[in-house]
Amino acid sequence: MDAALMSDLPRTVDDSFDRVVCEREAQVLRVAYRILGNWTDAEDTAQDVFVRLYRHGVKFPNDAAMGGWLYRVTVNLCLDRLRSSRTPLNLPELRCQELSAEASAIREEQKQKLMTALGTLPAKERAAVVLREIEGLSTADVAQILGSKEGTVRSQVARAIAHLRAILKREE
Amino acid sequence: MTEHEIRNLFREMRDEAIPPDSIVRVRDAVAGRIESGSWVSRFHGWWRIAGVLLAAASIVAVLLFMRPSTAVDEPAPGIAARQPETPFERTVPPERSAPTPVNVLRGAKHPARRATQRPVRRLETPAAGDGVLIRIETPDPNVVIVLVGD
Repeated sequence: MDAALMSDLPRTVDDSFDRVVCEREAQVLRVAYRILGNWTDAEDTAQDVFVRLYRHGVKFPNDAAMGGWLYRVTVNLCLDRLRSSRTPLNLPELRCQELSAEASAIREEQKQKLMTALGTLPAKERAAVVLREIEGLSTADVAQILGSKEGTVRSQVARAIAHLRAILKREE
Repeated sequence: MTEHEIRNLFREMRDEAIPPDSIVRVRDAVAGRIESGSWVSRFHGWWRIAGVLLAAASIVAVLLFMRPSTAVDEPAPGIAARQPETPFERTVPPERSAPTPVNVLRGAKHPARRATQRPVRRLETPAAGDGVLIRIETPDPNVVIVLVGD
């Protein structure tokens, strides 16, 4: 499917850039969606991220450097968008049932509740949880992306998970 | 729900697929923005130069407009005061004449030829026959130093 989609891109766009977009769009969209809570804003943010990548150039010393750069720009743009919008998040619009038909209804319901609870967290804590728990980055990487200390990230994640547990327990 | 279950749910979320229509929209939008941006960036430098030139031309035009018109026709007051019937003449430095000798020995009983000589000290050759070797005249006409040798 990716190859078919890539053929739609105009040829003026550099091929290496096309390849990076193809490889990294899922990462960017996923992080943006988990932080912002809706696909429309996530898509807008992803556009901004890739346009910035195009201007910056795709020359990075290694793949990890590029990944870190993309994470950092994505999170910063998401936080900027959250700061400017100030609108309450509407996270339950997950389409997990469309995406994973094999998953059980209970599991999907739990995920929806978790995403709803995630939307109640402060933006920076939410970003830390998304990067650390969903994206599976190390604490050091998350700290570098967020511009914080590792201890700060650890405490943010621990506090966020305790908060999520309390919310989910209250709903049970 | 335990912390472990929460972490498991998060891990499952990592593997969830992204809606294909979102991917298509993002790719199209990115390609469109880059396409339009390339035209803008191509002329970006020229627009900058044109803007700077326009600003400079505007400043010059404003300065010319604000300048009083009389300043163009009439000379400045200082120049006007200097001009009438006194054309500019080149000042020739006065010729250096020899300084007039100061008659410091005026009233002295010595002859006038001595007036041009240095008044303070003067060496004279001793006269032949007498024993004077050096004769020094001082500003005081009454004081003459004479060194006499053998």
